[in-house]
Amino acid sequence: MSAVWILLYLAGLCHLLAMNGYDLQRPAACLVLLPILGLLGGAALRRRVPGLFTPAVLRVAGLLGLAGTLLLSRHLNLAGWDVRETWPDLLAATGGLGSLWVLLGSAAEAAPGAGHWLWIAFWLLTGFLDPALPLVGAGLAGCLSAWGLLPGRPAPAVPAPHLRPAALTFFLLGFTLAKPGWDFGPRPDWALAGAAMGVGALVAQLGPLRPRLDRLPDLALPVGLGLLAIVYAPGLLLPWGALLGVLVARAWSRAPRPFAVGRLGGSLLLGMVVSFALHANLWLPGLRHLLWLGN
Amino acid sequence: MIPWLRAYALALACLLVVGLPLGQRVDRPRTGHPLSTAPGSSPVQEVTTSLPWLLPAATRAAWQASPGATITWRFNRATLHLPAVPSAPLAPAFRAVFVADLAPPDHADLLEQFVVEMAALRPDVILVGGDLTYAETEAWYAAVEAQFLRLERLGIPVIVAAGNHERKGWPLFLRHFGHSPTFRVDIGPLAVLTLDSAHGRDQLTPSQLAWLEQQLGTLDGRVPLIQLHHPVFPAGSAIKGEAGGSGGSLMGFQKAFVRLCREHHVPAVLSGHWHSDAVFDEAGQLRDDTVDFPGTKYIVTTALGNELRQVTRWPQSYHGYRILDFDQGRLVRFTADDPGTGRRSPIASTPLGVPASRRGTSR
Repeated sequence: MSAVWILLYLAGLCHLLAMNGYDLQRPAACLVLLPILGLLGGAALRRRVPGLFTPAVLRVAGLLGLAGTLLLSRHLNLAGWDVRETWPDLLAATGGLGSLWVLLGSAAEAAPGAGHWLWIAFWLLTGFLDPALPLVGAGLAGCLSAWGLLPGRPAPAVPAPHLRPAALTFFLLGFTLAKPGWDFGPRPDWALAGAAMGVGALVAQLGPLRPRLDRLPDLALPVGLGLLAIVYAPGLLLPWGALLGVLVARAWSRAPRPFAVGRLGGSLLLGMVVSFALHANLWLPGLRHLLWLGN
Repeated sequence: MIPWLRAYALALACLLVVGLPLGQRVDRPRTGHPLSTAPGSSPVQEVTTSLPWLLPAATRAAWQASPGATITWRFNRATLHLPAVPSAPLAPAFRAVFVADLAPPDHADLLEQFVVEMAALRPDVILVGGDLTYAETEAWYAAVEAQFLRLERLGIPVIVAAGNHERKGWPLFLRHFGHSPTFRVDIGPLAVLTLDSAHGRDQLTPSQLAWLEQQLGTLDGRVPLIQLHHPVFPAGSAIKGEAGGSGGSLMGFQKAFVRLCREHHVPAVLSGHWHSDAVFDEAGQLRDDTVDFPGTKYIVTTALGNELRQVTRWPQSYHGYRILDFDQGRLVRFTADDPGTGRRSPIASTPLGVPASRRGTSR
């Protein structure tokens, strides 16, 4: 089973909160952080209380995750997200916790296959319709996964996957993936880059390209992701996204198995958060030249 | 294959659950995004729908009833292109008013005074350069929008830009003033280009700069006028004080922005944010010596209603707005007369009058 749909959840949540202005002015806003805490600390909970992760519990969690993300998306559709309101925060917490519960309870031993990446591309593209929709993709994937209905053949196994440095690579992945969202802001075109990334990742799993990419040294992944972060240009959104997808697919297939949800998911999330924080603070000396090419 | 088809069928069902019943959000025309029906313009209406390529019945009927109009789609963004309004000779006189950093709720009378003065002045358009509310409440956003609607009912279009304070109540701003903070309105001789410099903080982003370049390349004979919340240049050697942290200027793509303005002969770039008046030339020098200098005027306008600050060496400090007069599309006036001498001031905006509620008391 693959856990790649965590990418949808984290990308969707970070984009939504960054665009709508997340702050902790009201206690309700803290609810949104619960799934993040679950992401970081859930593995320890699973070790200590395995009874909370039985198939029956996971099925209920999957349904709750789907219901939460669906209702949240309905609530936010054609509107913004005011994180001071309790109801959408509660839905976000329910959707996130439910989906992540399934993730934590799944073995996540397989690398995502081409079908999974197409799924990611489809749901990231729905972000063009509304930025909350990718969360529904994560909720649905979690629910299908819990019920054993998420299809897809895993990618051919990489012998002894041991991506090094894995945490740094996933950090840079999050950092770079968030860039179009930061650039386009309320305009929906950021979703096109996400869809191109999914397609690029799909292509990287196919045909003659894959063995060649397998020969890339590990270090090429963080270096490539860092370079893509620097050379980002909105005029080249689709090829940029596709190239990012190639690197993302390789990073994911080389990540150690079972997938370390807390460590690598946390690195991915940290990369997104740092990306938004840095891009919002161009007054730091030298930073603006590095963050936006040609600035 | 079958399992994936089942998964995608469920995905489509989820999209329907989110999008039904079919809804829409009118993005233009609305307060802050007026419909351009000026001579020579190509008016458009825009809506975003909850499902792609589907319009609610009422909108579909109304749009189909517009003779000569065409509809284009970009996923769930529908645009109605109305027939172009025939061109007319450039109006001999056109007056725009720029205002920024409006009043917080406890200074609501200053906003009321502004509306009263605009009703008397009757400018052709009002540009609002961000920091509209200083209070992230539904009630105050609605009150500010109601004041703008009063102006629009008088036939004065209001074009709204986002400021950094809008980010604190972003969903409220979107709800009341539209989901497209970067947009163009053709009106009279002008193409008013509204940018969102407060996306994040103090910056344009690459996609905004690309959008601006594209717009400046398709002016069709119109005179570009740009509004954005943050001043383009720092106070630099003209600085008087740090002004409580508000002395910031545009950090993202400033040089590229200035180059574009020079290449496309933009007469003026309008900003607020400092709560203080200033005028810079394209080299970034404070021009408190003359109004008559070549190139783009980078004009910073004082606050309409929030606290006043002194950022540059320019000594005057009062609540106000800026009147810009165009003749045959040429900017001929952008400062008020100096109250002391009666001569044309190089920097001063027009002072706001004292509200009726404060007459007899000091403001």
